Amino acid sequence: MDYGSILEERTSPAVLMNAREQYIRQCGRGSPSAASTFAFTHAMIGSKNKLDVKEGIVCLEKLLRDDEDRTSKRNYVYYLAVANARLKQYDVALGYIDVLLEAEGNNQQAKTLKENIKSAMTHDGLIGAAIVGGGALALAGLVAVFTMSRK
Amino acid sequence: MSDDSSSPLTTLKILIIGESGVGKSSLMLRFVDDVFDPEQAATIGVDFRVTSMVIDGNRVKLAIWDTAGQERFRTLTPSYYRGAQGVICVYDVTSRSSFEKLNHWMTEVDTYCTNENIIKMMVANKIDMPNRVVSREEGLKFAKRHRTLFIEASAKTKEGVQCTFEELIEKIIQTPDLWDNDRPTFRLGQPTDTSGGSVCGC
Repeated sequence: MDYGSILEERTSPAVLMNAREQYIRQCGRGSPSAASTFAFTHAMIGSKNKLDVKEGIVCLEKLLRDDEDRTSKRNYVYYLAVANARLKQYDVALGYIDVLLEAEGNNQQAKTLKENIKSAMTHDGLIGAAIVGGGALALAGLVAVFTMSRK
Repeated sequence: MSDDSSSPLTTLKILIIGESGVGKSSLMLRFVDDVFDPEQAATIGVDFRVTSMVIDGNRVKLAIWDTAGQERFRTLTPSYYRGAQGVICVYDVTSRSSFEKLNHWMTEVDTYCTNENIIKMMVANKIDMPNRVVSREEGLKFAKRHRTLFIEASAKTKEGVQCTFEELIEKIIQTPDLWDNDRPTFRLGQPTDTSGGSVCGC
């Protein structure tokens, strides 16, 4: 449990399994509740298995598109930054956290995450490397979705 | 004497819980960074900070987990109780409902904590505010009934914040069962944990 930052936090297999079961059970009965959908995606992006993290990202992106609630959107954007950083997709991660910081410039939690992402990049020897355009472009559409809902 | 470069005696996991808007993040940020933001944004999921402090000449590393009070995140928090040695349960002295929900939070601690003798601290926050509705006596009474430590504090004015963490950590250190991992955790004649803890409910 000796973490340096939230990026190193991992979901235990038992928690992931429970979240998955609950989610699937609810899917079988119709549409799953927002709470268990989020608990499931949160568990997925904390998995040690990269495929789970990827699947979690897909879920979060879908939630970000479909959920109209602004408070929910800030959660998804934050966790998309976390998940992408865990996959070492740092440019995308920074893109997401900047979206949150643009809306909430003083958010200490978001600022800390940005620092954590940057120090992970330094650790991986990526600082100074050109930001890859692809990730940033893919983000542009989602940024619009997020900012439009700020009325 | 101990300084920042010495290796820590132990790392402690501290959890901060309580209703939305009572000042959990503000208490943590006042303690860790000595800052206060009156417009503190609602925590997303769970925030996490590492710091250290010196107690009785020993340096102790603290991993502080600041949980979101909002209902939407309640499904996440149970897993964070695992392995915590201390829990800070916060209420707002200007909000009667945040005080009345303490029972719920105490039940949650008892349900999800894995350390039986986890140290609990009740913090009455926002005592700088003029519109207080929960008296010190009420808070003390609740804390006594639930055998928790109790402190009145204000993240805004700093009052009681340092004390909150010092008292909690001191009490944990005085309870070696909570943190001294070098002690054997198994008894002779009993198998060590081999089950792997499967919880499949199919």
